[in-house]
Amino acid sequence: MKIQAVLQARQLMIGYHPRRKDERVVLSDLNFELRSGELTCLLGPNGVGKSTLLRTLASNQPPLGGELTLDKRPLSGYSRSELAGKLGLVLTDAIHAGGLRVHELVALGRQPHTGFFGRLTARDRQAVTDAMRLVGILHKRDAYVAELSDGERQKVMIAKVLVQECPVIILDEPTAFLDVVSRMDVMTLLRRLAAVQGKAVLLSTHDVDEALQLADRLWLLTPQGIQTGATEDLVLSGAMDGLMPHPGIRFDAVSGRFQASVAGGRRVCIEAASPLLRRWAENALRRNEYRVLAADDAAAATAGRLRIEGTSDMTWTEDGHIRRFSSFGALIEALREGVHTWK
Amino acid sequence: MNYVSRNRLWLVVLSLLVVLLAVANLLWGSVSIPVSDVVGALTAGNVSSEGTRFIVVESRLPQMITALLCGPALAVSGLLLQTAFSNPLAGPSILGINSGASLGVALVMLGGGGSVISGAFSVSGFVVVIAGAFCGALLVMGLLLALSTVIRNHLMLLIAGIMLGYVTSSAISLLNFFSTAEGVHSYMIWGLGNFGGVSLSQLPWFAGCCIVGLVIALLLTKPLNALLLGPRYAENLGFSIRRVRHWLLLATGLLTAVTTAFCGPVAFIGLAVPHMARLLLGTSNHNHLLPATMLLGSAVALVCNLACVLPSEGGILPLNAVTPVIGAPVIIYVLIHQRKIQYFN
Repeated sequence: MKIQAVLQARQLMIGYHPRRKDERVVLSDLNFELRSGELTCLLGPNGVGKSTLLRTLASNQPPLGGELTLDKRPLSGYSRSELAGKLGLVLTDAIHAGGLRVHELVALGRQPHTGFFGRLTARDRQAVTDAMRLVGILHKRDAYVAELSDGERQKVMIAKVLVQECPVIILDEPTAFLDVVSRMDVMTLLRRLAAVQGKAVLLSTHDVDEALQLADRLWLLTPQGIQTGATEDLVLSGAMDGLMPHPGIRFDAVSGRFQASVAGGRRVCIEAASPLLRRWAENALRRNEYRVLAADDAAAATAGRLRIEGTSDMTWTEDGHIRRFSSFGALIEALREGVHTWK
Repeated sequence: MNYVSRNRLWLVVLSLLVVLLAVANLLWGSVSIPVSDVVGALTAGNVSSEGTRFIVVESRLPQMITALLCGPALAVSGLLLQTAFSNPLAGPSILGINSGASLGVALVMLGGGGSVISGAFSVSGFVVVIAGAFCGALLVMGLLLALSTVIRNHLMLLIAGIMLGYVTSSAISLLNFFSTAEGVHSYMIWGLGNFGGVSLSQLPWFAGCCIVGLVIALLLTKPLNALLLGPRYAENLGFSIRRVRHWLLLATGLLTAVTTAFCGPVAFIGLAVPHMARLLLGTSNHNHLLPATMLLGSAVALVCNLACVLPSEGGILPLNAVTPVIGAPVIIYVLIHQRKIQYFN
């Protein structure tokens, strides 16, 4: 399937109150393109303007400046009904459709394609059934929306956007409030939709983990602007570090996660029997404000030394004190009391 | 039987119920008239006395038709408001739209010294009262819509509506204070509510306004369903929210205005009947809910009208003494079972 840009922005300026005295620019000079057949994740700290950007892309609010085109036509030139068949939304807005059956809610997505009274044809019904099957909610077809879990409800909203048959799908934090399983479910589903049906899928999320695993492309939004690129390119270029400009947080490219940076000056060298033991030993010590040194570090000689043979066999050596521990729990407790109190 | 055919069956049952109640309204009144006379009066056949013919044709028939139309008019405006504001407690009387219409009527009626309502209603008088009520209702609804863009919280909006109702009521009190005794009296009688206020000659106008409002509501079925998802989703489904709101405003304003002008500020039918319909059908899909609300509105109004003539020895109960007895328990039931019912979640 040919990948092509469907939504393009050049020098886009977004914000509130256009043509008014208290015009407020949230972000400016944004250049990006949303491509079909790809899952794009929009990442950024709270309050940077993710929702403003999504609202602008969804034509809920006009841009303050620049150029925004959908299929090479200015977005502002589309009528509401034209847009309804081009660009589907899944929002975080509260819905009041608890008294609808699942298939009735999904069928609302057909409205741009049905007549004045919204009568469903056989083809419409087929599309509704197919979408429910695809998102895995068909067994709940006749359930009330009010009876669904948060994850199921999100799937229903995705089914709704599917039957809308839009080439572009924009989702505002579709995985917020979901547990791990539903989150992964929803994300893989969206990834598959992009890859198999060739849709351009854009979603905002706070979940860096899942975004890095499943997104074809990342949009990193910071107060300085937007950075876009294939996930791996961005990670390896160090762009992720700039995403959360906070002294207490840094991005660890190896684990692909944001970590609390170490504040304390205590240092330790770790010798571990396996990478797994080493990984979790680092986790425990970093949390307790130890900086983990490489074995060949010059400062290693004066630092503490932790030797781990197994999950219940670890030895700490520091300043002539030597002590064995049978669990991380015991080790951490002893470290909290302080090495100098050891006998 | 699946629920779609069950809902269709309910609509048929409700239609039959309405027909039955309509007939009962013709047969049963504060004066007892034998069935043969009623049939005779309606078919221009033999009637025992001209007085009887007059009662059936000039009083019972228009009163029955008024109730038949007033019920759905109020119930549908309640349903439209509940969907538009996504609020189960919205209704023309709660949100002060009734009071707005009342203020309009009061201005016309008290300004005219009571002559407008008590005397023979000319067509121009009718138009003036309707216009007054319509302007009042639209004014309050417009204010509410403006407030709804600022006040996002539904409960707060409801309270704002109640406040608007108080302000209009105080304006009405003021008008009463400066009015003639005759005007105050006719206004008070009107305020008690009555389906008998529409004469046979006014009936076509009343019916016309009601039917136009109801037809607009039926034409809005599709956007109303979209609105269940909230304004932004509805917009994404291709609707201009502004335009839909304007039509909703027009339909609700017209329905509330015309019923309030002629039957008084009837309480609770607008609030309670949509809930009764939802509970009955178990759906908030307007495809079925809207017709069911209309039929149930007719049925409830006809029952209330029957209840008004219950003390058969000459007296007629005020309508607003009857409607809360039916409406309030429904609302309390809905509030208690809100978790279980969940149609606004």
